[in-house]
Amino acid sequence: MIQKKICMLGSFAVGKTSLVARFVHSVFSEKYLTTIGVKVDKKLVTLGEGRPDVSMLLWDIYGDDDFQAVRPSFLRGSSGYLLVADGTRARSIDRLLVLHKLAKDTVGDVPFLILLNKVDLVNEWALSDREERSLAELGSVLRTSAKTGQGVEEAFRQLAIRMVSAG
Amino acid sequence: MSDRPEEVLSRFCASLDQLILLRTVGPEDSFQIIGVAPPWLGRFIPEHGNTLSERLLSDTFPFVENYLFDAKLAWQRGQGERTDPAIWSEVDRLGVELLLQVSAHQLGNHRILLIEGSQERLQEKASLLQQARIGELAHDRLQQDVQKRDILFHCIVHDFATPLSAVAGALQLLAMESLEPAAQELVQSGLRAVVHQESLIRDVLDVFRFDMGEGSADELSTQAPDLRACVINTVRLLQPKASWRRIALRLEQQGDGPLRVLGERSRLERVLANLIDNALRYAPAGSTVVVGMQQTDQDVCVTVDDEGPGVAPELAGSLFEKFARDRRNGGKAGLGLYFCRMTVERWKGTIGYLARAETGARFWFRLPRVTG
Repeated sequence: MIQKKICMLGSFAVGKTSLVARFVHSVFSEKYLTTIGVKVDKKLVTLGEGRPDVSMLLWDIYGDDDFQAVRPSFLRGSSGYLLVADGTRARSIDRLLVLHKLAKDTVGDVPFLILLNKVDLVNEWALSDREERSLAELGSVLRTSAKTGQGVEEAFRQLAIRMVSAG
Repeated sequence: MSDRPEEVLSRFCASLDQLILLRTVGPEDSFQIIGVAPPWLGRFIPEHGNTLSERLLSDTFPFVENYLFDAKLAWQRGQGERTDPAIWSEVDRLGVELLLQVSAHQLGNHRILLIEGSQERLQEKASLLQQARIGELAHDRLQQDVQKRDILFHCIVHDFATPLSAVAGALQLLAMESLEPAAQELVQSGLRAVVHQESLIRDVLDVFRFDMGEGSADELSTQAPDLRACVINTVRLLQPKASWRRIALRLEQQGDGPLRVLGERSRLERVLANLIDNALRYAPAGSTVVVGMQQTDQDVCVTVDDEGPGVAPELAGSLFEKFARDRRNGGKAGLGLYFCRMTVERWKGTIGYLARAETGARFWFRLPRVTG
């Protein structure tokens, strides 16, 4: 078994904490409770096919905004990260791009995925196909819903596989 | 119980729920606990002496292991240095979640790590942040709605009404030609359809204006919101955001009676929120944002002064245009100031920006008073 640190990065209220709660505890709450500071969770992921199990140390980092800016030191030692945006709030993409640069500058080229969360709110989706295609040029994009669970397991699993492959 | 100063100090430290750790020099990196350890430490490390090794501390609190990178840099910089405090949450052996805050300080030759566990203080901070973010989300949604409506407005006016006028003109010219009766009837039929369509568009625009809370000048005079109450309310709502950013948000006003102006309350508060929010966004921590009101018999002027970087001269002229970039340091494209101008001018008011003699910006708007 190998241990890997993963950071959840994104603007506030995009659903980072809900994604972790769905993945680790299989729960979801409609109530918005902002994350103050950092919360560290653990989850063991079995990849199979001869690959080692991965003990994921999930760093759920508060939403980056005018009130609290993410510190580069929080990212130190990360083997990968998930960039999360809210598909119903186009502005959350701006913050995602800033955080991507911060992560690259701090930990270099480690595996990452872009998650467009809240896909269950399809009627409120604010991103155009063109915007999603632009994001895809940056890295792999997955649509997720912490509420229904869509894409959540797959996202963490994909990241684990990429981290193991990267060594 | 002894009253020796060091024991009083020790009990005082414990009562603050703070774990004060002094870094010690030795073969193993470790910390000495100063005073009495707070009770919450036992929920994570049940058996501890007066010394904690860095390894034990890091294994127990992985967040602290990371934070020590920043702490060590601050300690290396020397006397008086400190790190910004950082908050994290930890789940104890019984599954209870606790908020903790860590900071590092250098006092003389002493290297201190301070971990605070006062749930009351940290929860208060969390609650402040929660309020501010809920407000920010509501503001975002409002901005999106305003933008959608604005786009709808322009879409109707330009895409439907303009070609319709051209069609009407062409049909009227055609009607002046000597046409066969059947053709003349067709032209007249077309003209009637155009007139009907123009009437429909006017109806849609009327509904749209009503939905936007607009009305005629007479209707607005009847509403006549109290500008003073709107300013006080908006300043109160934005106080949590100001406190969080360590900015003093101050209100300066003359008198205390109502100041009735032409306008509509909720949109007026949106204009105020936009201007004050903008000032808070660019004002540096530790500075003051002042909201002022000056009235004459004819009108009331509201000013919002900040000590931020001000606006680059080349941007000042287009500040209130749609999608203008608003500040020197990478201000984002937006509709906020455009919305303010559109709204204030609709109420026969004026709005503007002035560079302050000292550093900073002054945004102002003036609205006619409604008397009687």
